[in-house]
Amino acid sequence: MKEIFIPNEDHVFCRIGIDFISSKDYKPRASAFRNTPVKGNNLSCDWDKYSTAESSRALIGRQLNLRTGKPKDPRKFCIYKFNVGTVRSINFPGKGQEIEHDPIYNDPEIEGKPNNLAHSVMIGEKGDDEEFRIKLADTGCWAIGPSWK
Amino acid sequence: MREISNPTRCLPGGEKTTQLPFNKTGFLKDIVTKMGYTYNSEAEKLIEQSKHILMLREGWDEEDALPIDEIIWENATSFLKAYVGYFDQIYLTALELPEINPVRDGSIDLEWRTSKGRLLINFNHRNLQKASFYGDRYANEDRIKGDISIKGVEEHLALWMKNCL
Repeated sequence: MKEIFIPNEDHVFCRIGIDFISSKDYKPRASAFRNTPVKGNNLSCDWDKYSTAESSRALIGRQLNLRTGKPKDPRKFCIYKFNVGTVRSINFPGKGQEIEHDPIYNDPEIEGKPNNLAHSVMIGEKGDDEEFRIKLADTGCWAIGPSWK
Repeated sequence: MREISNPTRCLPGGEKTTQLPFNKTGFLKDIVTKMGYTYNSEAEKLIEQSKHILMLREGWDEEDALPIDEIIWENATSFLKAYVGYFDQIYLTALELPEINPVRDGSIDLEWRTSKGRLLINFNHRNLQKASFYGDRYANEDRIKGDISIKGVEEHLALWMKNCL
């Protein structure tokens, strides 16, 4: 499937688990934007050209929890929206970010890893800098926020 | 030393105390001791509640998050206790309490967000002797950033916390 350049004016949706949302101010915690060494620096997201916040969240339910082997519960995730141009313009030495289209397609579809035309990745070093983690959250906003606030 | 005619008085919070004879310094010290005790118990309660972090298993984020080693939790909570104690004893005021948050890579964040400012301190395996931090009063005002020893209290950071959180 061909990858397409994502224009700066578009947006991407990132999932934020409810465990990564502050109970004080209902904003993402800085811990939300740091991956494991295994996963590396890329942050998965969905391009709003091919998805909505609701469809992005619903797709979570078709993915499998790696530990239990059971489908993930979409109710345990909220959706955060980033403007692509704003993320690309983050001016941090050594922390430049790029967002690339990275569609997922398998035929036949793999159980637990659904095809996703909207899938994209936010590429770039994110960890090891507390200032960057705080300020990355500043550049986005809730598309589907916590319902308990 | 002044004598008083009615020695029984109410302290803030409704507790009564009787001190005879008393002087102004003794009365204030009594209030500070009681308030400090209440506040320190809040910090202890927060730390006690954070122990659930030690029970998190691999994949606790429904993906591939790593468990948190006890040494990381000890470093983070000891650090917090040290600064709470410093505020109590030196500044005679309460340090705003942070959130204690596990991070996917097995580290722990202490994260403060108040109406005045924000501060993030991360404790991790890369350096068990130091924590890395960043703080500001929003819009890049009064930025503070660096690495800090996990032992003892660094006065410049404590002062920043006092003024900016």
